[in-house]
Amino acid sequence: MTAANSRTEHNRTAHHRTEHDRAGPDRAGPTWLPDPLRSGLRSALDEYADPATATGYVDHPPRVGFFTDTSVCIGCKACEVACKEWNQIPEDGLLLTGMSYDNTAGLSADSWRHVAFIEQRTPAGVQDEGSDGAGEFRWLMSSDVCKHCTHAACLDVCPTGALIRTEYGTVIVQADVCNGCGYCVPACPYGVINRREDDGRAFKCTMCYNRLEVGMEPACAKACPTDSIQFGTLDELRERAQGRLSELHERGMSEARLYGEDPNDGVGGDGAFFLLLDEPEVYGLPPDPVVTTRDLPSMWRRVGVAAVGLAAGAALAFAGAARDGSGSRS
Amino acid sequence: MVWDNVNCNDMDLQLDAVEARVLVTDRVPPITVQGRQTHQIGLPYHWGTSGYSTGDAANDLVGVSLDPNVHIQEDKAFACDIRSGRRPRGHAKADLVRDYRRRAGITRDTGMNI
Amino acid sequence: MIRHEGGSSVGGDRGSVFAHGKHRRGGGDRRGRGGLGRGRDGSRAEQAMVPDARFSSYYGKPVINAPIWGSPEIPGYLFLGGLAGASSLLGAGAQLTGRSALERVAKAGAVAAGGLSIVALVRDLGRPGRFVNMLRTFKVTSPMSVGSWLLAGYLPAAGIAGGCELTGRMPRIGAAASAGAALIGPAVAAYTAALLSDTAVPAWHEGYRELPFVFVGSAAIAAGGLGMLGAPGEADPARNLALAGVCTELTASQIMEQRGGLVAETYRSGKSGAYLRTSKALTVLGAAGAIFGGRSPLVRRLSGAALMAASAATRFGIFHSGLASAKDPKFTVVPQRERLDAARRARDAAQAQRS
Repeated sequence: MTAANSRTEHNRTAHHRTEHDRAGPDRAGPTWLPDPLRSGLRSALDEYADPATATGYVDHPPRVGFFTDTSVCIGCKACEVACKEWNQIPEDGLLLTGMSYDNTAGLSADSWRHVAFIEQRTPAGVQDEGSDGAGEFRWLMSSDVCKHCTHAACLDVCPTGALIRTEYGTVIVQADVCNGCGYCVPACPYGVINRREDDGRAFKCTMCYNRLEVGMEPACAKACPTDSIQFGTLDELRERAQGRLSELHERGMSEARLYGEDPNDGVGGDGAFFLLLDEPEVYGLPPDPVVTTRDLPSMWRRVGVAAVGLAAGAALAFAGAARDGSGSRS
Repeated sequence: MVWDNVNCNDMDLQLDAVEARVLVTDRVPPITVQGRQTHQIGLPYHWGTSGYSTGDAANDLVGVSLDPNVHIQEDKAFACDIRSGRRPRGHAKADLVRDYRRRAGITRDTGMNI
Repeated sequence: MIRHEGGSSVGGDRGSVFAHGKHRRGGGDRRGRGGLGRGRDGSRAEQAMVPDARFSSYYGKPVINAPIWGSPEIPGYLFLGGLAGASSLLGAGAQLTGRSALERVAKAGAVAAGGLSIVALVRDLGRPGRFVNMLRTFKVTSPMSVGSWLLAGYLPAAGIAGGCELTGRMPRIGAAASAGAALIGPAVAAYTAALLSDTAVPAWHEGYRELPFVFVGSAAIAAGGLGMLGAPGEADPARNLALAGVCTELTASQIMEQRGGLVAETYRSGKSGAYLRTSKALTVLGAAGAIFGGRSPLVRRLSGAALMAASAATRFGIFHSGLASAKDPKFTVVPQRERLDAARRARDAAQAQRS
C-alpha cells in the first residue's frame, strides 16, 4: 500500500515548457505514443538543463547540488559521520581494509558518503623534496557521494516509481514504495545505490531532502571543516569550480580537472560534481559514465524485431511441417 | 596481526605486549638513528574492552616513566619491537616479555636515574 | 589481497597509461607500477618490464555494483520466461493444426513455467510482500516495469489456457486465452534482453544489439525442446522451431562475442564461460539429434531434453558473465578510458587541421 506522500514520476499535470527549459534538441519520442509513455522517455533522454522541470514540477526552487573540491579535503571523515548521524544509518562493519585510511571501502546502502584515500609517489603540485630522499609523495582524499545525475539511470529503471526526482533536482528513494527488486543497483554507472541486506529495500543519499525543505544545507556540507564539500545552486557552484580550477592550473597543478560538471557528458552532468587531482578511475570513479537509458530506444526496437521474429518463426515452423503432422499420434 | 613489546621495569605489573591490526604505509618513512634504520609505528590511544571495536590498549605499552625535563609521564614516544602474528596469551606472554627484558639487560634500576 | 594500482607509472611517464589496444597486463598479474602495492611479505610490487595497456583502479575495487539478483532465481526466470512465451506460440499453433498432444505439452509447459517464474521473481524481491508495487506505475524507461505489465497480461492468459487444456473444460475460453498468450508470449520471451542490457553491467550492455536475438533463439530452443521431449510423435513443428532457434542463437551469440571487445573474455572464461561452452555442446548435440534422428521417439526425447538444458545453460552463462564483468573494474574502466582517449585524439587532430 502506498503512503499518502508517495508519488510517481507522472502524476503531475502536464505544463508547457519555456525556452529556458531546453538545452538541446527535442528528442521527445514518437508522437504517436500517448503522453504518459512519452514523458518517461522525454525526461530520460532530452537534454533539458533542468531535470525538475522535465519531471513536471512547476515553480520549483533552483537546482541544487554539491561541488566537492578534493584539493582541500583533509580526510577527516566528518562528512561520513554527519551523514550517518543525520540519516540514522546503521553501522555497517568495522574493517581495517588496508586501503590507506579508507575503512568504508565504498558507497553502499549503509554508507552514503565515502572518503577515498590514495597514496601516490607523485608530486603534490609544487613540493619540496623530503629530507629522507624518498622523493615525491602526495595523498589524495576525496569524499564520494551519489551524483544525483541529470539523467539518472537508477530513476529510469525503477519499476515501482520508488525513485523520484525532487523539486530540487535531486534523486531520492521513497522507502515506503521500494520493494527491493534491485534493478537500480546494476543500473547506476557509478555503483552508488545498493540494497540493505537485512531490510530488503534500496537506500542512497537523499541530499538530506528533509534539511533542504527547511532551508538548511545537507549534513555533510555543514560538517565539512575545510569547505571541501560545497553546497548551493548548481549554476553558482559551476562558476566557483571553474574559478578554482583556473587557480590550481595557474599554480602548476595541471592534473586538476573537473569531473561530472559537463552537461554534455554521458549522464547530462551531475548534481554532485568534483574537482579531482588525478584520473577518475584512480578514485574508483568511471572515466566516462553513460546513462544506460541512452541506448534503450535501440534496445526496445531490437526486442520488438526479435519478438516478431519469434512469432514468425513459430508460424513458419508450423507451415513447414503442415505436410506431415496432423491428427493425434502418441 | 601484530603484537608489540616494549621495555619495561620488571615489576610484572604491566601488560607490555599488545596486538593490533597493521597498515603498512609509505607516508611515514624510516629514520636513520646512529647509522641504524629505525621504522616508525603510529598507535592510536584509547582502545579498550568496551564499545563497538575492542582490542588491546596502546596505553598498556607505555612504561610508567617520568619525563626528566617536565616531570610528567613520558608516553609519547618509545622504542618497541614489532612482530607478525597473534600475541601469546597468559604465561606465554609473560615469558616472552621477560625474555626481551633479559636480552635488553633491563633491571629494576633501568630508567630510574633522573 | 587488495592491491592498489597507482595512478602513475615509474619515471613520471603519466601519459602512456595505454600503450596500445591490447589488454595485456605485465607479469600475468595486475600490479601497480609506482603505486603502493604490497605483497604478502610487505614487499613492493614488481614492475612490469614491458610497457603494455594498463589501467588504474581504486585498490582493484569494482566501479559499478554487481547485480544483487539471486541465482538460480533470476537466470532460472530468464529460462522459464522464454520457455513459457515460446511454448504459448507452439500451443496455439498446435491447436490450430490439430496436434493435440503437442498442444497439451506446450500449454502445460507454458502454465508451469509461468507459475514457477512468478514464484522465482517474487522470492527474489527484497520485500516480497510488496510485489504488487510493480504495477503501481508504468514506465517505458524501465524494462522491469514493462515486463511486469507483460507478465500481468500473459500469466493469467497462459494459466487459463493451460487450465482449460488440462481439465478439458471451457474450450472456447481456453482458445481465446491461448490466443492472448500467444500474442504476448513473444514479448515475454524477448523483453528480458532489454532487462539485462539496460544496466551498467558491461557484459550485458555491450551486447545489447545481439542479446534480444540470443534470448528469442534460446526461447525457441527451449520450447521446441519441450515439444520434442513431451510429444515426439507430433513434434515436427517443435523441431523446426528449435532448429530455427539454434541458428538464431548461435549466430547472434557469435556476433555478440566478436563485437564485445574486452567483455568477450567473460563469455569464454570462468563460470560463465563454462556454462556457455556447455550450452553450445548441448545445442549441437540436440540439433544433431533433431536433424538426423528421424522420427525415432527416443532420439527426439533426448534431443529435446538436451536442447532445453542448452537453453537453461545459456541463460545462466549470460547471467554469470554479467556478474563477472561487473566485479572486475577493468571491464568498466578500460573501454571508457579508450573511448575518452579516442575522442580526445580526434579533437586534437581536428584542431591541428584547423590551425
